[in-house]
Amino acid sequence: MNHYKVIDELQSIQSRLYRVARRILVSHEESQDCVQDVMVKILERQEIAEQAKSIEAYAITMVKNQSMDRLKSKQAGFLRMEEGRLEDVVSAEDDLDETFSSAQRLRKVDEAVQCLPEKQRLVWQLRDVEGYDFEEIQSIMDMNASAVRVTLSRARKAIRTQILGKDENEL
Amino acid sequence: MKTNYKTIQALLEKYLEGQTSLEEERFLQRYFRDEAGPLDPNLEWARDVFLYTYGEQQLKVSLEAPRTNASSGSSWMRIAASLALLIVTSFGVYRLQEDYQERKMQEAYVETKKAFELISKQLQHAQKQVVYLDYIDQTAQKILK
Repeated sequence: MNHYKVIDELQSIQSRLYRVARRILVSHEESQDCVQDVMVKILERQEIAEQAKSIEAYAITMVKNQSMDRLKSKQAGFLRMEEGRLEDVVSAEDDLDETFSSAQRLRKVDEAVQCLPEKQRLVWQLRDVEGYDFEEIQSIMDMNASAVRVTLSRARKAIRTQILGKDENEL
Repeated sequence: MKTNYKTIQALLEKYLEGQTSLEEERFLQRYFRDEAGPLDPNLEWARDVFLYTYGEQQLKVSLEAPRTNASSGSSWMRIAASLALLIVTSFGVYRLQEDYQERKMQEAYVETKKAFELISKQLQHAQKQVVYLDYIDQTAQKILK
């Protein structure tokens, strides 16, 4: 695989890489930065990336690790929680031509997801948004099969509880 | 396609346990996207979740092509290479010219030296002839005396 093929492949999955980074880092700039950084590293160490089963899994794993590291070192996530995400949900709602109340509903889901512990949030993102199979998630997260299922199940249940709980408060 | 409530409910139970396949999850997502009418309140949370994941899946970015050392380096390297080539070539041309001039000068020197040698040979020869002349002259004087 030559240099340009690797660039092509990385560009084709850049949105995916970005979404995973964003799930952890929340801030658009920081997520973008993280993904760029990972791409550069992969291109610099191309031989290693080629030995990996797939560039995509390799890249996602690197994005996961790097965004976790960034979050730990800066603890940037907490302060930036508010900014970025909400407009996206609203604009996604515009695209779907939904009503105002459905924008609020989506926002509630977003909040529920962001309240999850990082591991659950990531596993949930990889499965429910990115649609990876369990084997891929196992290798990306470095977890065994049952741990992945348990984590995912906890995340899904917690999201539901959070949505239902908030509904009850408002009524 | 009208899917009955019980099927969806059962799939959602499975979903919460982390036991659904990717196909089943895609089926659920499509079901909630297509379901425009009023929904059983027990399913509303799930519709929100699946519409949310759908929205997230549409989130696209287009980052600039990564500026790697390798790729920007390659353009830098191209510039550096052309510069190097230019320098080497001009130096080479300069050296060639210098060589050529030097060679020409050397040739000229050799030619000049040859010419001088020739002249000096001729002169020596001429001197010898002059010696003969002297000799003839002396002999002639002797005879005349």
